[in-house]
This record gives sequence, structure tokens and C-alpha cells, in this order.
Amino acid sequence: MISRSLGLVLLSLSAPAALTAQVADAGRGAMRPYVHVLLAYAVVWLLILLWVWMIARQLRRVEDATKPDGG
Amino acid sequence: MSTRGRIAGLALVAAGVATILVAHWMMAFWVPSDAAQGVVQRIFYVHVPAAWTTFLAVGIVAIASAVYLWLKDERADAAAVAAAEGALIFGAVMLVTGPLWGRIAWGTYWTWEPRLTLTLLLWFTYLGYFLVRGSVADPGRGRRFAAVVAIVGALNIPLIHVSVEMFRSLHPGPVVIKPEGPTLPADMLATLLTSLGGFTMLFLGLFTFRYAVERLRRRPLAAAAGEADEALT
Repeated sequence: MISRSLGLVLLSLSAPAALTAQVADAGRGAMRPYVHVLLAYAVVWLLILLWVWMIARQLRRVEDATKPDGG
Repeated sequence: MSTRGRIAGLALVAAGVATILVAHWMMAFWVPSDAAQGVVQRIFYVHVPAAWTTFLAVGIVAIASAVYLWLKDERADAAAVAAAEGALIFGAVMLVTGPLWGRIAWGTYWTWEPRLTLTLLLWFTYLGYFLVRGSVADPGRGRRFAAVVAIVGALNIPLIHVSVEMFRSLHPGPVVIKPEGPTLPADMLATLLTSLGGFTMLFLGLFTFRYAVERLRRRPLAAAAGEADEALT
């Protein structure tokens, strides 16, 4: 009897937590496509900026190599 | 780099960035979500243009490499190097955005199905292009070997295109280049074509700058070689 009552108390106490967890999971699930879209668009600009940086670095090297010596 | 070339490169880059930003706005506020896939289908508007730009870049590398092998023209090799770098960058965009879309649409980031596998192979082939160039002591031989790698690698593109029809594939088939015309709704097609135009212009603009840097990088060597030849004769 005591164990059954304890079980009911624990169940009733854990129900809101379980419900909150489910809602949070559902929220995460609903948000995930947005996160993926955002990441995809961020990757586009990051990689394009990487290429711009690579070109600028190569240009700087060429300029350094062709610069006349100071002394 | 000539003033005209610099202006053309800058104009292409500026127009490309502006057009891509317009496409982003269309994607975010104008075009509706796909009924079946929801919001994640919007990755389509960067994934497909990245794929198209990669194939354009690979095409340029292959043609320039063939010209280099035939005529031994340094300008063709410089163009091939510039385009190959673009192929790696836009190929990486394609290979990252595709799995982000696939995770939601298919439930997995990656599957070894024909189109994905062949596309990954293409990317590694062009990574190999740079490794081959750098791994041979004689730069001339390295360039020739790399040119052959580039031409063989480009043969993969028709295979990638037909792989979705030849094999059972998770990857969707073509929706624009079809014998009966595009099957996309008009607003989705407009967004895709805007993004495609932006990616193409941005690639061509950055390619122009990369080509100019490559030509500048070789100039002292060529001048030195010319002086050496004169000294020898």
C-alpha cells in the first residue's frame, strides 16, 4: 500500500517534468529545420569568404616577393 | 592586373553578392515553403546553385587543362588553377549544404548512394589536382600530370548527372533541366534562377581575381626564365 502510494506520488511529481521534456523535444524538433537552413546559408558565406581570404593572401605573397629590397 | 580586368572583376563580384542577397530575401520572405518538406527545402536555393557553379568551374578547369596540354600556354594553366580552387570552394558548399538538407529530409546526413558518392569523388579528384601539382619536383611535369587529372575528373560530371536516373537513388531527380521543361512552380524557379545568377557572377568575379594573382605570381619566374634563356643564347 505504502509503495503503491509512493509510486503514485512519484508519478504525479514526474509528470510535469516529463511533459516539459516532451514539449522541449517537440520545440527542438520544430526548430531543427530552421537551424539547418541557417547553418547552410552561413556555410555559403563562410566558404566564399575563405576563398576571398586565400586570394588576398596569395596576392600579398606576390607583392612581398616582387617588392624591391630596401637595402 | 589591367584596370579593365580589375573593374570587370569587381563589377562581377559586386553584382554577384547583390544578386545572392536578393535571392536570400526571396528565399526568406517571398517564396512559399515546399508542401512536403517544409522550411528545410529552402536549402535548395543555395545547394543547387553551388552544384551548378562547381560543375561550371570543373568544366573550365578541364577545357583550360586540355588547352594547356595542347598549346603549353601558361595562361591556360593559370586559368585551370584559378577555376580548380573555385571548384573546391563551391564543391565544399554543395557537400556541406546537401547533408544539412538530407538530415531533415532523409533522416541521415550521408548515404553512400551513387550521386553523393560520385560527387564526393569529384571533390577529392580536384583536391588531388593540387596535390599532384605540388608533389612533382619538376613544375612543368606537375602541371601536365595535374591537367590529366583534371580532364579525367571532369568525365565524372555526366555520370553525376545521369546517376539519379541510372541507379536507384535517394537524391531527387532534375527539376529544371528536363525535356518537358522545368517542373518547379514559377516562384520557386524565379528564386532558384536569381540565386544561380548570383553564384555564377560571384564565381566568375573571384575567378578573374584569382587568375590575375596566378599570372602575377608567375611573372617573375617567366621573366627570370626569359633572362636565363637570353643569357644562354
